[in-house]
Amino acid sequence: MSFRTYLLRRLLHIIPALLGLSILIFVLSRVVPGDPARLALGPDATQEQVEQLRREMGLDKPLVVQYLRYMGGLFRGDFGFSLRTRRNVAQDIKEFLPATVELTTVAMLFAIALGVPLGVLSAVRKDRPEDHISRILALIGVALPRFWLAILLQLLFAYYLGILPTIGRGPAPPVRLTGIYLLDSLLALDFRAFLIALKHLILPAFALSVGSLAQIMRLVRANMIEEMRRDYVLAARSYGLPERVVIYKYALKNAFSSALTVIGLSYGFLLGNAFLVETVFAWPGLAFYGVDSLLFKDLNAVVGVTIVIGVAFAVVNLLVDIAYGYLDPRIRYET
Amino acid sequence: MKRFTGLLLMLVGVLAFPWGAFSQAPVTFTYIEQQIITASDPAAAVDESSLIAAINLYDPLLYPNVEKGSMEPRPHVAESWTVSPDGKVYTFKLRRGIRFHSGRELTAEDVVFSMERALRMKKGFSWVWTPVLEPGRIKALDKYTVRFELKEAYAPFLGSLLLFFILDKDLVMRNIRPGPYGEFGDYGSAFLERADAGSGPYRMERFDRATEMVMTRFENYWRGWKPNQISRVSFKTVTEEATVKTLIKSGQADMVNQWLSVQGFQELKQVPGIVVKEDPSVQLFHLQMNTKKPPLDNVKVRQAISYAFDYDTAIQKIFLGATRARGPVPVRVPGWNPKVPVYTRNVATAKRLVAESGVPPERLSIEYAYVVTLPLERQIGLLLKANLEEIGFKVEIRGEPWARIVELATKPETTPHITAIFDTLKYPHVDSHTYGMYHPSCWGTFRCMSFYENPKVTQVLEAARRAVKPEEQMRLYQLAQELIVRDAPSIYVANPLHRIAFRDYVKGYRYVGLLGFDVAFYDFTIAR
Repeated sequence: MSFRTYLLRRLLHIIPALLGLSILIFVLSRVVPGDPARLALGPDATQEQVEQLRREMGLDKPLVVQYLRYMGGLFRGDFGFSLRTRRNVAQDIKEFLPATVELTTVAMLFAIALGVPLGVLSAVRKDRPEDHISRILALIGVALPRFWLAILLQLLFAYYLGILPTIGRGPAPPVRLTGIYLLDSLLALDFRAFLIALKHLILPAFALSVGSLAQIMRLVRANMIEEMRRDYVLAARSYGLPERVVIYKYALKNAFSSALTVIGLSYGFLLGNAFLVETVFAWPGLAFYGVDSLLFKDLNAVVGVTIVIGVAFAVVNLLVDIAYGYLDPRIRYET
Repeated sequence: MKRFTGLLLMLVGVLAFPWGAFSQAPVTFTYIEQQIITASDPAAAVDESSLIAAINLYDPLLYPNVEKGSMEPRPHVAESWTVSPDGKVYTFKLRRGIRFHSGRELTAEDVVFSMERALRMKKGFSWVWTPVLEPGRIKALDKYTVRFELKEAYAPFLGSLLLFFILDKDLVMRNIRPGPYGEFGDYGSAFLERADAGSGPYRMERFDRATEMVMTRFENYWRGWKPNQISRVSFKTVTEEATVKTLIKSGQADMVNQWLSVQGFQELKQVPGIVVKEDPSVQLFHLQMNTKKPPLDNVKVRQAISYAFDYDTAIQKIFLGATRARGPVPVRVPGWNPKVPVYTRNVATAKRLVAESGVPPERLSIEYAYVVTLPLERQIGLLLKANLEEIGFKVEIRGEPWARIVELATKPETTPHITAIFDTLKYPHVDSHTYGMYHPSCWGTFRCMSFYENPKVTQVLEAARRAVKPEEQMRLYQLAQELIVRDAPSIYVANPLHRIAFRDYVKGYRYVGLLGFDVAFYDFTIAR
């Protein structure tokens, strides 16, 4: 099987998954108790006003008709009207998605940049104090509720030390190209704006990354220990290759391939679960918008956000599969 | 030459002198809300954050008398008014020289346009006016005179105009897009997302729905400006309570909203430099009893429950301070009846009433519903359960999401026996907590989960709304309160305290009971 066929096949797999997701979330959002039109108009709206809004939103139509209409609109870029923000959900997603993508990407980078070296260190220094410390840190990282850690970080760095901002993304760069502040400021060669955006990102991204960081650290450690026992490592050492080369060039490459799957899954997971961190840091992201919409029974927004996160999840996993195939050439031909 | 050199030196001296130090430094202010601004269009505003935006960007026709600490309407855009003897025609004289942010003068045409827009859009508070007004009944008699012709006399009308904000007709009409309102397209709704069309003290500089609205002062505001008033406002949305507290404690926020928990405010009270202002609110916390559902269809059972409840514990231990509710109307609302009967805990009387009701003990089984996200309501439920078990009831406590409560409230069969409800005055009139809660026309909403029906009360309430003279209106509304409380459709628990926190250099804060009007940035001065 060629790489192109493999890629096409993987892309085709995504379609039924997304279709299933859209049906599931569409039905679920409509069977959850509570009349969205009544909620949107407030308790004092007359029954006539409520009925009018229900008609405008097509809620008086059978569920199948509603779904087909919604999907028809989706292909035209129309995600439907948000009851909460009173504009098209597509506009909301366009506004909120870059903030979450930026946050989760930086969080993921933190997790990889810290998790991999710490995992390697832990494996190389197995059963020594460094390993014990990293084990304890990993346990804490997995066990700590993110929102609690976020509040602690905020109190320490923003309130007591006053060296990092408490909330928000900071002022928007003068030019909005992608909505991702780090990228926009770099493209505009505005390094001051870049630094400001980075300062605003450090605390929320770190708070968000800790769980994944711990997971990656432990996984890399376990894989590295296994790899370090293999014959090729023994052979490399016996050839007199420097230990650094043995570890990072040979052992880590093999140990990292399975960690990549976890990284891909974590990224998708973070996209949808950044809610608590976004809430604490008043980060105007998609996860916060999605949960807020759910509480308000903003049907179109809930479905729109879920589909976007679903697509992002699928795309990230596809990229991981491709990268996995790159690291292990057997994968794309054997699938 | 010497004279020329002298003049030159003087000129250099004048130019080099730090005149800026003597001019008024810009005063910036950060206000934190925990709810997003859902509507920047004042005709769609109903929640606190949207109303605060409207109050600061737009001018309402009338304004609450904040100077006297009252919610009674006083002149504002309208400098005077007359009412016809039959109470159906209101004629307002507008103040001259009020400028919109566009620079155009506000006239009667703008008032007509704004009210017709609200009536056609059917959003926000339009439901208050739709029973008596429709497009065509508002007329501009001349540039500064406008007339409202009501279908019938309507007691809450004048007060409701505090919530009627005036928009710049020309600006809105120049910015309409295709939309659901026929020739009016979207009525400028999309435009009002990114700009304002008001004449208020502040103009919208920037609006990012989820995070911040930035307002800068409108230099030509008709009420003028004094030193130390706020020149720039950052109105931020931060939902997490811990973050809100950090922001005000560190001085990154100057004022934070009323939605912090009671414990949160208690914590802020201990912080030097922070003022926690407490006022009796115009909110009613009550436990609505479904009068259509046995055994609560029996008035003696409802009275027994009202006597069994431990009000003191609820107020002191659960609310940590509040005003005891005396009937459906919050005590600070003009028109509240001080002679209304008050139920106090008396277990013996409660037991006697249960016996007199004739309801067999095995049928004394009820369910209590509360909003699952409000722990206070759960605590009240536990207290109620303990109190009612003393007189032979079985109580089941059930938490429900707010959306579910609203849905349950639509029918008597689905409405729980007892539901805990916080109900704020919807418009500045006693009618809100009488007619709005106990006239059968409101059945089906969370405000009327008691499904109360008493032909005498219905008649009195309708007469009160139609009464022309304010004294007659008040007499009837007060009579209605007495009659309602005797029938015990609710356990009237508390008028909770309204709390807000700000830094001690913020002066001029006044709470009058109307949602949003206490956060009029124009009223504040900064004395750092």
